[in-house]
Amino acid sequence: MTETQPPTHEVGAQDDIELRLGANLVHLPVIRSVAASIAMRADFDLDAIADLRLAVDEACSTLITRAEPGSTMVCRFTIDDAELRFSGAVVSSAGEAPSTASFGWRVLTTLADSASSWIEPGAHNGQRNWVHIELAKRKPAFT
Amino acid sequence: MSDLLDVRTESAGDTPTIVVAAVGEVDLGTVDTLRAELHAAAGRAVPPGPLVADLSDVSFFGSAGLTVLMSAHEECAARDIAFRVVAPSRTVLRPLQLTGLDEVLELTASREEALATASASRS
Repeated sequence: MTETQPPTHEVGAQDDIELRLGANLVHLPVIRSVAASIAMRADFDLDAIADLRLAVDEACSTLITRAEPGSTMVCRFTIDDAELRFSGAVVSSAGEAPSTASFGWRVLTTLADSASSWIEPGAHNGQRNWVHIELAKRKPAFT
Repeated sequence: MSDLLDVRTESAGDTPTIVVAAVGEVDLGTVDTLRAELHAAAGRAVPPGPLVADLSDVSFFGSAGLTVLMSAHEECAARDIAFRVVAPSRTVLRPLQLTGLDEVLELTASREEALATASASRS
């Protein structure tokens, strides 16, 4: 009942990596590891990898605390020539986008080159919405 | 609750000093352990302290940890206890700097420095 439609953005290309896991804080270390590993393969330097790990952790922490108990979180990593993009979404009964006044959001927005969060109303006129957070970090420039 | 984070409280000698040392990853899922330990230590500490949070062996530090440090800082300030944070690594420094808390909290590069009475409050 909690596993409904995935977020509505198009399913990505061959290189996209999607994680679906219980919206539970115990999974944060796994998500951080995946984020770090993807950033490493995209040639980010050690500091940038650490920053991305932190930003993704903040995004997922925020999402998980808003998720319906027992629901699934969907995370997608997209890499192109210019940047690494993370997008995460959970089903939530919350009607408002996550607070942008928290330490977590401050950390996230400072670390990422762009970040946003928004609410997508549920498709089946129920009370549940999708809460989205998306962030992007530019790939290191060639020197 | 998990093996990800281990937090221990030690008293250094017969001074009023208490050290709370964390080893592992501080995120929203593990932070309660650190919060509980720091809160208990702050309650037990005797002015002028210090109460030291040693984060030398912390390998991940998210914003949940920042909130806990700020609570301990305020709790200690209210009782005239010096609260010092040992934060030698970028892992811990980075989130503190991004939020400006490095200007609010008393940070040291080593436990020795945190325990030295000469290291007067900068705040």
